This record gives sequence, C-alpha cells and structure tokens, in this order.
Amino acid sequence: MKFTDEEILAQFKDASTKEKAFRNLLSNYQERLYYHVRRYVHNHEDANDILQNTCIKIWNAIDNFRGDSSLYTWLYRIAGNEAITFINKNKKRNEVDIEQTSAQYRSASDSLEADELSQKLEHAIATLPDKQKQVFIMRYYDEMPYEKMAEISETSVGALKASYHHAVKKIEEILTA
Amino acid sequence: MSNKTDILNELKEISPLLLQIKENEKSLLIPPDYFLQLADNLLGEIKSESDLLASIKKEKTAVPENYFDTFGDTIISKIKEQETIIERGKIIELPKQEHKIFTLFKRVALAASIVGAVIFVKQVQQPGLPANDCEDGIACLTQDEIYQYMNANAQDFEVQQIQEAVKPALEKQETKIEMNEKEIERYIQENNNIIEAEDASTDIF
Repeated sequence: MKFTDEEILAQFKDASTKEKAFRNLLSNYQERLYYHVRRYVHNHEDANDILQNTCIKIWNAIDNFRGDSSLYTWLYRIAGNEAITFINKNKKRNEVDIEQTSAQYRSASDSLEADELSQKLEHAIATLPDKQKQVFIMRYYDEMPYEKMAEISETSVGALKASYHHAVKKIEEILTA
Repeated sequence: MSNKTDILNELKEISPLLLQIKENEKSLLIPPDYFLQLADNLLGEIKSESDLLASIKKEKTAVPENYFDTFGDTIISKIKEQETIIERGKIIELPKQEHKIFTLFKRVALAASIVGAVIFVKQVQQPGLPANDCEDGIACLTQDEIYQYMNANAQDFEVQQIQEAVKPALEKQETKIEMNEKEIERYIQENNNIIEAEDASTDIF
C-alpha cells in the first residue's frame, strides 16, 4: 500500500508512528534518491553512504519541514547537497574511483565502446562546477522538467537552461578532445 | 509532447553525441535486496546513534554544591566591590604630554646652542690667527694670500685685475719705504745699468 505525502507527514508527527512514517517515506522515494546520488559518485558503496547520510538527516530534520515545497523536492535537495558535500570531501579518492569502478556495477553485456564512452562521460561530469553538475544530472539522468528543477535548486528556469546548455557543451568538448 | 521527448529533443539540438550515449546507456547494477533492507539498516543506525546521544546527554557535568543558589549574590557583591573602588579613588592628573614636534624642536635648539658655544670658545682660544679681509664677501683671504695666488696664476688674470687686487698690499709696502729724493737719485745712479736693461726688455711689449 502506498501512502501519500500528507499521510506520511501526519504519521511523523505522532511519535508512536514515526518509524512507520519513515519506512513509508523510504518505500516511496528510496530508489529515486538512490539513483540520483549514484550519478554523482559512480559506485554503489559511495552512493549507499550518501543515501544513508541523507536519510539520517531527513529523520532528524523532518519535524522542521514546513511544507513550503513538496516533500520530494525537499528530500531531493538534501540528497543533492549531501552528494556534493561527499564529493568535495573525497575529491581525490573519487577521481580514482571513476577509473576503477565505473564498469564494476554495469551489466556484463556492456560493449567495450559503450563502456569507454560512459567512463569518459563520468570523467567529464566530474570536471563540472558543483552547480552545473547538479543541473546536468537532474536534466540528463533524472529527466526532470525545468520547473521542478527550479523549485529544487531555487534558481530561475532561464538560468537553468543556460547552465544545462553550458554543461552539455563542455562535456561534449571533453568527449571529442 | 511528453517531458522525456522534450528532454531528448533538446539534447539532440545541443549535442547529438550525448544523446547517442544516453540512448546506449545500460542500467546500473545494485546489490540484490538492497532496497528491501535499506529501511531496516537505516533505522538500526538511527537508533544506535540516538542511544549514543542519549548516553552522552545523561552524563551530568559536575557543578559545585549550591553553585547556582549563590551565583547571583556573588556577582552582585563583586560589582559593588568594583563600584566602591571607583568611588574611593583619587583623580590624579597625569602630566600633559607635549606635542612631539615641539619636543623635537626643543632638542634641536639645545643641540644647536651647544655647538655654537663650542665654536665660540675655540675662536676665543686661538687669537693668533691672521685677520682676514672679508669685506668683498668673496673669500676670507689675506692680501698676501691673494698676491701669492695671483702671482702663481698670473696668466688667468688681466693686468688691471692684478693691479686692483694687489693695490692695497703695494700701498702698504710703499708707505714703509721712506726715501728722500737724494737717496732716490743716488739709487738710480748706482743701479743705472740694471734699470736701462729692464726698460729695454719691456719695450718689446
């Protein structure tokens, strides 16, 4: 059974149902959040670390959620910020990880060429500034409409379009170099 | 047109290469049952973390007995003590600090007066020095010194200049030679040969 955001938030307000609310929230959003953070770090272990940090933050801060934005927007923002924080903390290690583990968790049927291109793409994404990286991942991988992206990043649609355009061009430049 | 189509069309316009990569992208591999266990794992971690925090909170920080009961009185008595010290204290006027430039001027003036005094004493102690004729304001040299200098460097001066320069000295010498006419005539007669020879040598010019 799926619960709505309102029901989940109501469950959180009652101490006796807080744990249940948390399980329901994860049931609704864990996969989307996982795939989002996975695009930042390229390996499962790091993605798991980020997701765990994100969920613990959500547990601790859910009482302060005022409902100004949708629940998913709020969760997504926390996850994105956690991913950026994690990358910046482990910058050097993460660069090595891209080379070593990018293909590790992909399907065994991947062709060598596709694998190489994906690895190059991950390298190129890693070179983007934080803000552009977030915009690119939201649009390219998560296929999010600009309006939703604007809500999450608290940036105008125009600025996001420009940022995405720049990011794509920069990545293409790296891939064709 | 769906959102996904919009996104793909947009990407096609900006970079066909990236669109191609996206279309060929394979799904990411995730450990089996990862999402099934995630909630349990997280709740376990949250509980252990909150237990740890709870245990830290339970440890009370040691404070002396009745510390807070007497704290207010202690502070008030300290404030009163400081106030009485201020009331009892005399106001002592500190010496005025003179302006730095004025102080410096005083020091320079003192040093200058000492140097002046030393020079004056030296002058007084050496009275034997020849008095210089400084009327021209050119140089404080004696007439003899001027005469010797011009003699040595005669070629640098015109005759008139030399005559004017040595005139006072010659006048002094002339006044010292007191001869009457008889003596002059006798001198000329005795030195007639020499004078004629000198006249002959100067006629050339």
